[in-house]
Amino acid sequence: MNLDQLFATIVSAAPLAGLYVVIGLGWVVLFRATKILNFATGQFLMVGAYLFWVAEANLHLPFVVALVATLVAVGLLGAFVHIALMRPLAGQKGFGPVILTFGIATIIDSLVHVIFGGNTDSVSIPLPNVSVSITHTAAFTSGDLLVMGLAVVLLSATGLIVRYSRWGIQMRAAAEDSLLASQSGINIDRVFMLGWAFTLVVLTVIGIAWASLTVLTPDLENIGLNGLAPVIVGGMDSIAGVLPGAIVVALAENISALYFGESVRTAAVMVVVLVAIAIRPRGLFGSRSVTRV
Amino acid sequence: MVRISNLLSGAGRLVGPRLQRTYLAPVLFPRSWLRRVLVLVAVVVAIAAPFFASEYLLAIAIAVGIGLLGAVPTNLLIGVAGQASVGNAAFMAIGAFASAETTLYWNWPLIASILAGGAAAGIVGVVVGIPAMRVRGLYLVVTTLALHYVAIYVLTVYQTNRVGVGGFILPLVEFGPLNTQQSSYYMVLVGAVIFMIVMRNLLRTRFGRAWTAIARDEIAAGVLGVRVNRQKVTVFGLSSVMIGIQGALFGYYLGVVTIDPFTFALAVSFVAMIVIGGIGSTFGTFIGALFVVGLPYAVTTVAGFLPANIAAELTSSLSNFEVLLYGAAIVLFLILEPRGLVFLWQRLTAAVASWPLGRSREQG
Repeated sequence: MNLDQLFATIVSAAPLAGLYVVIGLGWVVLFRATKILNFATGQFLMVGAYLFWVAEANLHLPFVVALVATLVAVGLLGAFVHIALMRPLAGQKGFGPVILTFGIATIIDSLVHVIFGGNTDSVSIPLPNVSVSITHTAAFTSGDLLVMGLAVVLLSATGLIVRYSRWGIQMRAAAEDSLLASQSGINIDRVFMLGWAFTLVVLTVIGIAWASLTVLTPDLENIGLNGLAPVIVGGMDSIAGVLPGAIVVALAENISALYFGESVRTAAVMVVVLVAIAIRPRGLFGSRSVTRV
Repeated sequence: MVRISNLLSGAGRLVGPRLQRTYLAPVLFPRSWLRRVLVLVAVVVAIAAPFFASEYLLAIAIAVGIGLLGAVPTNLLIGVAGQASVGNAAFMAIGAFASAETTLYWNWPLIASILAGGAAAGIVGVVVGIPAMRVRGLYLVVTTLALHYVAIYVLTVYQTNRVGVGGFILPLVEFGPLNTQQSSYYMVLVGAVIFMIVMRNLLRTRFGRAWTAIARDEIAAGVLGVRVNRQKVTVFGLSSVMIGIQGALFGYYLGVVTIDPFTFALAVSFVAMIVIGGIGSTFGTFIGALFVVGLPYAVTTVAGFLPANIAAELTSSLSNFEVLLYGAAIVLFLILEPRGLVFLWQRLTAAVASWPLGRSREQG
C-alpha cells in the first residue's frame, strides 16, 4: 500500500464522482419537482440503457438517431409514470408514492430479466480513443472523460434550467406551495410531468454512458441506490450540493475498496449515508425544510 | 382546532362504538355468524394441520406463517405509525445470525436464542433509529436502506470468518413425537398468534393510539402530549425486535443460516404484504402474507394447467414472474384500492352477513 496506489485511487474516484453527480441529479430534480424520493432511479437508468441497446444493436439505427429516439421514449415514459401511476396518489400524505416507486422498481427489474434475461450485453458509443495521464500510474480514459464531461454539462445545465427557465421557476414555485402555485395559473401536472421526463432523460444519458464503459446487465440498476448517497450528503433539495456529495462518496468508496477489498463498495457508500444522517440530516447545502417534509 | 377524535377518526376500527367487556371478546365471540364459523374452522384447521396436510402444504403454511411474523411488525411500523422502512431483511438477518451464534457457540436453549435474535435486532434498531427519528420525513426509508447494505456486508464478513460459505448448521428442533417440519409449524404458529394478539392489543393501548396519531400528523400529536420522537423510536425498536425473532424462527426452520436469503427484494416483499393486505389492519396483514407468499405456489399450480411450452417458459423464470406479479400488485393496490384486500374482504363478509337485506342496499 504505497502512496502511488493511494493517489491512483483518489484520481480514479473522479469518474466515479462524475457518475454519482448525474445519478444524484436524477434524485434531486425529481425530489425538488415532486417531493418524491424515487427508489426506482437505478431501474429507470438501466431500462434507458436497454432501450438504447435495442435501438442501436437490434434495430441497427445510427448512433445519433438511436440516442434521440431513446431519449424521446424515456421522456414519454416519464410523463406516463406521472399521469398513470403518480397522479392518482396526489394528495396522499406520507409514504404512498415512495412505496409506489419500490413497486415500479420491482416491476422494471423483473420485466427486464424476463425480456432480456440476465445476460451481459455491450453498448458501444463512438468515442475517440484518448488518454490523459495524471501520473505514471493514474490516467483518465476517454470513457472517464466522457462521464466527467457529462457530469459537468448536466450539472450546470440543470442548475441553469432550474434557476432561469420557465419550467424551473414554476417547479420551484410548486415545490414551495403547490396549491398556491396552481391557483396562480401554474399547470402543476405539466410541471410534474416535465420533472419526471427530465429526470428519466438525465438518468438514461448516464445509463448509456456507464453501460458503454462497463457492461449492460440488469445489475446496472444497483448504482441507482449508490447515487442516493451524494444527495443525502449534499442535501436532498440542493442541486449544487450533489457535487461535493458525489466527491465525498466516491472518495470514501474508492479508499475503502483499496483497504478492505472490492466487496466493501456498496457498504462503504451506505456507511457514508448513515453518518450523514446522524451528523447533518439536511445535508451540506440542503434547506431546513427538507427535514420537515 | 385539532382534537384527538379527529386524529383518530380514520381509525374507526380501533375506537369503534361497539363496547366489549374484554379484549378477547371480539376475537373469540365475533358478532356475525359467518365470522364465528370462520374463526372456529380456522382454529381447528390451524391446530390439526400437521396431522392431515401433506408436507408440501405444510411447507406453504410455514412460509406463510414466517411471512406473517414479518408482516405484523412491518404493519405496526408502516401501517400504524406511518414510518416507512425497508429494513426487514437486515433485521431478519441480524436475528437469525444472533440466534445461530448464541445457540451454537454459547449453548443457549431454543427460546433464549430466539429471544437473543430479537434483542440483537432491537438494539441495532434503536441505535440506528434514534438519529433517523430526530427528523421528520423520509429519512427512515433512507436509513433502513443504508442499514440493509451495511448489515449484509458485516454479516457476510462475519459468516465467512466464523463458518465459511456453508453457513451455520443449526440443531434440529423436534418437540416430543413431532418431526422437524411439524415442530417448525407449531413454533411458527405460536409465534404468529402471539404477534397478531400483540398487534391487536397494542392498537388499543396508549402506545397504539400515540402511533396512530403520529401517522396522522406529527405536529398535532406532539401538541396533544405525545412524545413523538420517543414513540417513533419505541415503535421502530419494537418492530425490530419482532423482525429479529422472525429471523431467528426463519433460521430454525431452514436449519442453515446463511446471508443469501436476506436480499433487498425480501425486504420489499414485506412492504408489499401490508400494502396488498391492508395498511394498519391485523387481519389484512394475514391476507397480505398469504397473498405474497402464496403467489409463487399459485403460479406453479396455474402453470400445471397451461400448455407445456408456456408452462416451461413460466417456471424457468418463475422467480421473475412472481416478483413481477407482486410488484404489479403493489402498484395496482396503491392506485386502485389503498385500503387493501382486507377492505374487499370486509365488504364481502358484510354483504354475506347481512344477506338478504344487505344485498338490496349493495344493488341500490
